[in-house]
Amino acid sequence: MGKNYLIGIGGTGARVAEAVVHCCAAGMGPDELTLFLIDPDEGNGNLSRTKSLVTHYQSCRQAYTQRSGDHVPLFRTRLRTPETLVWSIFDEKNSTLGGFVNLHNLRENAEDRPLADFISVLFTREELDTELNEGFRGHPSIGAVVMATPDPHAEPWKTFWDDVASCQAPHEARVFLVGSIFGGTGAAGVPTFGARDMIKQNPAALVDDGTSKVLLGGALVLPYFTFESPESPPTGADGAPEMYVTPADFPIATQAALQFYNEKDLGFDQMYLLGDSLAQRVGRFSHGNQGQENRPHYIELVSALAAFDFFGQPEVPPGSEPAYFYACRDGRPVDWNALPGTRDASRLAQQQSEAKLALCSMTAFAYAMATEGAAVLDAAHDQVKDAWYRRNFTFNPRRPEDAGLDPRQHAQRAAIDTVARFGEQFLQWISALDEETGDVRLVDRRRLFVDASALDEQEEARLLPPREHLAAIGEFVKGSRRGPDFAAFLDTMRDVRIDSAAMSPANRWINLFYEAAREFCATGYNIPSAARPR
Amino acid sequence: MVRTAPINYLLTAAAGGLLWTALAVGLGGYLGDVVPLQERTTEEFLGLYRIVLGVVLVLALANCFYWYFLGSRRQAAVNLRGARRVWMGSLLGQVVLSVVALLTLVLLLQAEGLTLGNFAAIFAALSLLTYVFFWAATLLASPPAVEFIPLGKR
Repeated sequence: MGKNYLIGIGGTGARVAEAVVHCCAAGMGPDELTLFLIDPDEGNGNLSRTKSLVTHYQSCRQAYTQRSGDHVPLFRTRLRTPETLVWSIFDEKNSTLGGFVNLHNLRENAEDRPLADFISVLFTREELDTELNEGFRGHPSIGAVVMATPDPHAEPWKTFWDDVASCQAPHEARVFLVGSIFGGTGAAGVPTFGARDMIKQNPAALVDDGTSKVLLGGALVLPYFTFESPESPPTGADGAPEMYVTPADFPIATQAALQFYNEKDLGFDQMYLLGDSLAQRVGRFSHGNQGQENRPHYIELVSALAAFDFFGQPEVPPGSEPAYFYACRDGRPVDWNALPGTRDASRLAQQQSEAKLALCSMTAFAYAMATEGAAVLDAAHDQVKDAWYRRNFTFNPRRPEDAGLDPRQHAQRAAIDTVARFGEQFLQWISALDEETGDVRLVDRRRLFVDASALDEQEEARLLPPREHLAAIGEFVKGSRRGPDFAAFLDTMRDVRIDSAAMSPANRWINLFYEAAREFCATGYNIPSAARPR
Repeated sequence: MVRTAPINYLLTAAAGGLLWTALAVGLGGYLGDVVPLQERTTEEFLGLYRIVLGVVLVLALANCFYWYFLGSRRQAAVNLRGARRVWMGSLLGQVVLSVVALLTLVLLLQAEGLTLGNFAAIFAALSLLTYVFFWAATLLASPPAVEFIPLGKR
């Protein structure tokens, strides 16, 4: 089996990685995927969110070890990460471009003086002296320099090159780079690592006949969001204005970058060009650090689908012509039928249905686990009279030898809670794709969460209790006819059979909720799927 | 299968009919032979006894059917606390019904010479046709959504 690598570069790369992880949880990913990120801004809110999500996903895989059948794709992807998940480029904090290229010493040395002068011509004083802890601030030329010489013996590159070395055949390693074309880190990193010598034709990636073990793909994310620009330019501690980027810079940066890609002979075998003209607002301005945490966007989901299309394609013979993919939607609205999930037009409708079923099932699963599941686990065994529970969890809580059958038992409860918490993160993510203007019509946040206006400012988002909002679970999919209510969900769950007697209570619990959610969505929302379980 | 309509309705009615036959004819025949009657004939006593048992059975069946109807409604699964209240209320109602039926018979037969043992046997029959019947029927044939509500269901 080949190796799949996804390398997320910069803030957009991290956000696409976040979408990839969520989709893997929903069962849309490949069997195995290795993921790492590149970003000098380790405190970046988007990056932190993705890092914690990856760790959480891996915890879920440890907690959920027994699927009730092959038709259950939940957390199917074995998500590997190198020892170091994020390559932060610099070894030291407060690094500057000037420091990185050793400009001071170059100036001092008479022999190197012309080189120092040349650097001073290429970069402004501001670019040379700005501390890069918070990224390249929309100046990819800085990133291109500092990212050009990754140490192959340091993580995460060591793991990457070890994996490539273990491959034997051409294109056995599928490497997918993703980043924005219009910002700083992504715009610098994607072409840098896409350059022929960096990965594709790197001597470590070649087989004996000179062909590459690496099939290199990339998603270039064109401008797709906007944010509120600062009223006045940000300043540093000394009061001097700092470098920063605003949405107004995006078009010209994109134009220049596209021209670069057009002219340069990069190593990409396949390239996906993704963008959006809705210009959704995803948050306030921040040039980096914790403040740079943006709302998820549907283009990140589309980018994840592009990655899965790349990983899932049939074998590509060496010497194939580079391929470029793009997709357009028919009109302004973005609905389930607007998601481009495959290069194969004859499979598009089926793929869209499968993606819709996977994401909707995960949504219903996460919602039910976080509400009904938590409530039942909080109640004593004898107090729970629901048929779905009593049929699947038969034991006497007063008999010590039955303790291992109780999903409330500490280790079991911890495993269930791990998956339930991931589910809550998934709900936050997928419902955030639902944009306020109504153009994005995927999952309706208002059917899952208490209206934000009804909450205090400090209060966290809360899910609607399903027994008080019976219709919610049957109405969260936009563009579908109104589905059945929560009573029907409980009926579905009651009829699910988990046959394995040896399955742990936690795994039984998770399988039960997932199978019910999938069946409920397939029938309730009438989502056709070849893989519908029964 | 047993828990789905109309099978649960039909089986319950059939079980009730059989139980009534056993208690009204079987136990009734025995009581007709042993109770000391002062004013009424044995036929009059048996007629009265069987009518009371019949009325009690009809009310018990009505209660079972109401429970089945309630338990098969879509909302039952989401309001099990309400369903449990209804079931407990029904069980209590059946106990009251058996006591009321016994008191009715005691009043109607006070001029006769029935012993405490005779009334105990009648109360046992009334109990079997009311709360015991309701409990057993709902234990075995409640709709799936409420199948774990009856006491003793594991």
